[in-house]
Amino acid sequence: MSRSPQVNSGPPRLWRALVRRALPADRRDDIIGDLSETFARDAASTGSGAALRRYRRRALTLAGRFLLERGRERLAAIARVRFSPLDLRLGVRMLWRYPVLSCVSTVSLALAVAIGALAWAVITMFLWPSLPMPAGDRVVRIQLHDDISNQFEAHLTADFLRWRGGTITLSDVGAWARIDRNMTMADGAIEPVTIAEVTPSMFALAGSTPVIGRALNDADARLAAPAVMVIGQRLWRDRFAADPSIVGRAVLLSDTPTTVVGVLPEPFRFPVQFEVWQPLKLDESSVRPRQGRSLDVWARLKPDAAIETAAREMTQTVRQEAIDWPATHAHLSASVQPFARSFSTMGPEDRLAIGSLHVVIGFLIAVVSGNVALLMFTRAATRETEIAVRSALGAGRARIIAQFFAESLALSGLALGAGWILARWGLRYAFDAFVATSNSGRVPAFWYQPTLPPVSVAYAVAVALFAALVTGVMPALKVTRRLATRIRESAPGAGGLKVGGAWTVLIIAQVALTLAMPVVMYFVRSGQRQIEAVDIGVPTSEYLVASLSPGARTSRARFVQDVRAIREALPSISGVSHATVADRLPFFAHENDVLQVDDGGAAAPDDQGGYRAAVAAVDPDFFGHFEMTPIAGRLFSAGDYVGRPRAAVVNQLFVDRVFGGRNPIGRRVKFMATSQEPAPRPPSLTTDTRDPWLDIVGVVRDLCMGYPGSAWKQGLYVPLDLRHVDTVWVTARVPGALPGGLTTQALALRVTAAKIDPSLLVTAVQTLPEVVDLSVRETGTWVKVLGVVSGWVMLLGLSGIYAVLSFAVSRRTREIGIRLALGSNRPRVVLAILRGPLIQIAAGVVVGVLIGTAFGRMVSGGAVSVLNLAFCIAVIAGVCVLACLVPVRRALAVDPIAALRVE
Amino acid sequence: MSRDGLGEFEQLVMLAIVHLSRLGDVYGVPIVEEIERRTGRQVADAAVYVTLRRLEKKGLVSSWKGDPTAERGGKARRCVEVSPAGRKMLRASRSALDRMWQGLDATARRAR
Repeated sequence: MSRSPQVNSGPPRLWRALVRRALPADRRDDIIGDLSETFARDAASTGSGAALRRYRRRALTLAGRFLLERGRERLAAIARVRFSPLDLRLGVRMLWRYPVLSCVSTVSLALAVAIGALAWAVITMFLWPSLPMPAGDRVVRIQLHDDISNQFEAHLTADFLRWRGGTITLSDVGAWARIDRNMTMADGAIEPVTIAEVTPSMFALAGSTPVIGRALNDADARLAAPAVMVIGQRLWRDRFAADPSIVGRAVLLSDTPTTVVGVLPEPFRFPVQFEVWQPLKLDESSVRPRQGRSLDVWARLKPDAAIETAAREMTQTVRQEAIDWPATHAHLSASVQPFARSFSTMGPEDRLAIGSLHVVIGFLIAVVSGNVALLMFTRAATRETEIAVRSALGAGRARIIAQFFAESLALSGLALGAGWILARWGLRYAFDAFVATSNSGRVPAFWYQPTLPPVSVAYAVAVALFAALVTGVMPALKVTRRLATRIRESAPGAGGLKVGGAWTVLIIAQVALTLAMPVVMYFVRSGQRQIEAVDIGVPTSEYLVASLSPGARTSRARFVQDVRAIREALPSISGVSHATVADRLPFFAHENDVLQVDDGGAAAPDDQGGYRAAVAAVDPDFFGHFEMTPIAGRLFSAGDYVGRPRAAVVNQLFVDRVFGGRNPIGRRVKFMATSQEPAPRPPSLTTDTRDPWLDIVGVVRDLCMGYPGSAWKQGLYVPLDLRHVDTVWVTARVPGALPGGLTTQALALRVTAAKIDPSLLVTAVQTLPEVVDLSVRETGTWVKVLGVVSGWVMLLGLSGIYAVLSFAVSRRTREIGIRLALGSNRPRVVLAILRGPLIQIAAGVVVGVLIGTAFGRMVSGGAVSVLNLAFCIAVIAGVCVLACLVPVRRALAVDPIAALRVE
Repeated sequence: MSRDGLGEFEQLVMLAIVHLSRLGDVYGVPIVEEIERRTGRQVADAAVYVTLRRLEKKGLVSSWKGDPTAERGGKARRCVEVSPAGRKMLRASRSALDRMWQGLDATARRAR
């Protein structure tokens, strides 16, 4: 048979392949043939270039139209689906019939639902917080912004007195100031409390009625009025044993007896997280613009007033103030923001990051749904005969799809319930973990509550429905496509249904995730072990530490005097052998400064042109306190504390990294101004401007100068000048103390401090191991979360690989039988049968290893060790072997006679 | 396109098949050419193939594999013809249109 030359040259293969993929199988060859015929005619009449262009255009249009048509047909099939209660009952029965698959799928979907609901709760909490009180979303915060210094102005007393009468758009204008005081509790313990001094109008604004006693009133806010306070229900219950006679009782606030007049109900802590409220007393006679106390101002939007209108009105008001007070208000502008949202320090990037969490969650849910769909698909494949019988008995495609959807709906419903319980528990756990670790035990702002918002409910239901659609309808569409043809062409165990391209991608993604997650967890757990094993060469359980800060009205000289007195008094406490003070202690975050070395260091300087180092200002006996002796040179002497600091002691890491191990004694360093920090240190450490150099006088061993989990840093110690620090840390050593055995000394420390100065704020009284524990707990939370996610992903991966291999074996049982009957080697047959799925798994392994090692590199900050890589490979091998075990055994055990007898 | 009746393009495709069936085998390529020739419109091949498939599913058009041709390298074309049900539907569409036009000839002329 002769062929025309035009057909021989043929249309472009790539385009032909593209259009081939989009066309329906039953018309594919015919339409491709028509296209080729037209191409040949065009080539003969107009030349090959024009023919090619037309062919591409036709191919594109055809592919597009048929893809659209396919989508339309699928949607129409879904729309035709009708349910009956019987479908749902059958769906529930199917859950019992396949218990393992039901459990795996339910757990997977439940976790997806929980993660989605949790993500929404977190997003809502941080991006759109609102006050949990009547019309809380209409309470606003008014701030003034200095456009020159680019900072908010805190001294608003004069402005507040102008605004407090209300404006056209705002009512209930009030103010508060924050102060810290020591409170003497019922048991005699003295603890620092943060107090909100508020205008009494707060109680009307918040609509909060005291559980006992009364609220604050205008008479309480008079300058000469006696000191009164209202306390929160939690404080009343926990620290005053819910004493019903608390009202009228005088409690010592620092050195001032203050009468409790009422108790406010939980969880009210307006304006932010306060549990003690006192009246704000303003001396109006001495008020000057931008002077006086630091205040914050709130107001309520009047009915029908929009926040934008209020902002415009306040802008006009501040313009008028600028005319009246040109010296102070010329560069101020007003800002009116929703109250709770105004405290969010999140910038656009943070908001974007939280927003993008959605993408990750969405991806996760899609992978999980896809995985469960894969399981359902393989289950459907094993039910091919049942489906064929239904079809033969007259069940249409829509009817079978409805049945599959009902089964998935039953599964999703179960997962929704389990996921909801899990989400509630998870949110409570995450909230407590956040308070205990990231928020250092402090109660967060009262509008942050661990409750799932309505949007989480909607999201969870949507996820469950989506999952039901994906896991029910997708496999059903696949299984019922060309069902009659497949049944005609195949026999049981002889195949017919095939795993397509989308499923292959899903299998690869799932295997990759399965392998990457345990590796990620391994690296995080390694970090935690590193923290737990941290050793600074002394028994840390013997060290008690506490932070000292001056009270609101304490002068600088008094504070210096107080700290010295406490340091001297501490050794008189039973068991305490020694005490010292410093601005930073081991395991605490240290300032990272850039230092210049006189003749340059041995190592290359960083991008700022100097060497980064952790810096701590210490007392002369600090080194002895931590059993540090000079490795070279000397320690600080009394002379180093006279005048500006001129001496520095460096640690061994500094010597190694900056001087390359050479002797640093006699070398000089100075603090450098950098682009991030134009002023090179707080005043306590700035040296004489005419001679800013510090002489290195000694070298000591390394003491963890940073968080225990971080890499140990090169560091520098300088003499401490108490006159220039706002907070110092005092540490007392109790030789022989066991972990948790410093409670008596902790209480004695507080009492001693209170005796010396009742207004001195003593906070964070803890032992050194507790400081480490905080980091361990923080990492531990992540390890637990990652552990759950890893276990979950592993379960998914195992079930996925198992399903794919089982499917391959069951589909080709007859082929295995024939091959074995013809005398083939058993392992070779099994390998040939499982080659396809194994290639998919291998591709997943490669991607998983790449992700895992990339993460390892990121965490360990460089190359991944052989040990880590070996662990990675062990995980891969373990998971794959575990998942392959049963299907391979089943394939190896195929009896040729039994397999062939089925036909 | 209504659920029961025929859409305009479906009518065009079916009428093109009827016209061409008097001359020999009818398949995708000549149908496209016939519609373009008679209506003067540019017609996308894809639209014709999608419509043919839809009409076949409705039972208005039937198809079969023709004889192998040298022009297609020894492969056969898929030929189509309008089924009796399709012819009935075409006639019904025509009479529905005629009834709608009845009495409007003068108006139509004025509109031209």
